[in-house]
Amino acid sequence: MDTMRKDMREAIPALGFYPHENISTGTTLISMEFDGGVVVGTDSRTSSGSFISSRATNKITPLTDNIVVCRSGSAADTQAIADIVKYHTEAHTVVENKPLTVYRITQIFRRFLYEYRDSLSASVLVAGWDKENGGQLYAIPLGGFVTRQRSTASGSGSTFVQGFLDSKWKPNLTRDECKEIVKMAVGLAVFRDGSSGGVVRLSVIDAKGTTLELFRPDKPNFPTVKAPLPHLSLPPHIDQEPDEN
Amino acid sequence: MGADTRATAGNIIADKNIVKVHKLTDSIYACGAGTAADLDQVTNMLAGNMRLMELNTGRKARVITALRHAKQHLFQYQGYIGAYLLIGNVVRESGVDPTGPHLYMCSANGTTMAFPYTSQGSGSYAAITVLERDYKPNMTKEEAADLCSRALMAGMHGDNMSGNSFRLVIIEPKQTENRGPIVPDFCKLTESKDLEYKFKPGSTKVLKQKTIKYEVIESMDVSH
Repeated sequence: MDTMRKDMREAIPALGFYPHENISTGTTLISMEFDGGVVVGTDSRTSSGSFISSRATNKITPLTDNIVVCRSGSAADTQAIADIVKYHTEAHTVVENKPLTVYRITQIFRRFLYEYRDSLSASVLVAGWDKENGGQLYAIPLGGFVTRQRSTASGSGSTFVQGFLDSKWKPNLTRDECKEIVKMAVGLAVFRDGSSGGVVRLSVIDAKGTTLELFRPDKPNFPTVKAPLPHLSLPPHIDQEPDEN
Repeated sequence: MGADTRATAGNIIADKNIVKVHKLTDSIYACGAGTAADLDQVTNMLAGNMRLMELNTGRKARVITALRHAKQHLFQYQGYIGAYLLIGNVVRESGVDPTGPHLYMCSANGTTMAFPYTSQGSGSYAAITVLERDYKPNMTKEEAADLCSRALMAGMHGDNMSGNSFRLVIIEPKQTENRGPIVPDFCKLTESKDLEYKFKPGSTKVLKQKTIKYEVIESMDVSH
């Protein structure tokens, strides 16, 4: 415990001490619309600098029975914003006596993310289902700009799988096809992105509500990636067995 | 839950016996790392708010209430209140909130997370290794207290800003037990060195041997 305020601001790299390092979700978020709902998939890593402060985080936060938000960026900011948006959603629902549409919720997010764009580092995916428009997926990146997407990736892992998602998308994908694509995309992103990892969480939102599935690397059905084998790197007189993985 | 008892100001040990396990209510405790003054202030505020809430509602305060107060307060101050908390509790009234024991972490930025086990502060890196290796679900009270002690000792051993002694608090449905300060052996005396720097022949296990015969065509004189 430190009693000096000055020391609170100064990092001591030798001790691995980064006092004002924001705990952030270097993240992989993948999501896809299908006829009648949305699938979202995430990794589960929360890091603070190079330290993994949680390896089984749930980044899919339910807002209503049929709408979730997937968080990336600063964990503190996204948690606070999600709490505030949930509060406003509930207040509106009570006043109007009917559930809010997904679009309305994205507009509540936009208000805060745009207003406080200079002090927040929060980028989210809002995924959900409503009676008016069925399954919908909206991406809200850093500045607070709202776009509807059929399929999207977000977070630090997204760069690695943008092409994979584009290549897999076609009209009229089924719920199960979407689940497979999203799960594989998270697997691929986690394989290449150092700040994503842990388990894969898959969520399907449709008229019936929200389901959440868990895939662990030590249990079956975890998405595995077969990368090309490396060249043998040591001189030939040393016995080397090529790594099977 | 447990914590060491050292307070530092730069590289000076300011206090060797301070209490970092703060009582919020009879059944909710918070361990703190970070700025001592901020922690005292925040935990006192939480304790006050929880007590007022108990008096106003006639019910026991819940740990999630304390957690929400903490996170919203700390988020409001954008990390400038340097309080990193571990908040733990066991719900006392069975039937009211039968969800069992809770352990939450709340960082100065306002991030909160729930954990089965975790560590916090500058010694947390050493402590978490012990927890990761030995934690298993459904441990008994003594097993858990022992694991907690060993994790704390690892933290105190491997970190200059932790040490001297540690305290434990064991929260149970019926009562709360405070243990300590406990002074580990390595805090009492200068440690003897564990191993010789010269290794005995055979220290490294031979896994594979292969002899390659070379024909010496030319040699070099290396005597000077």
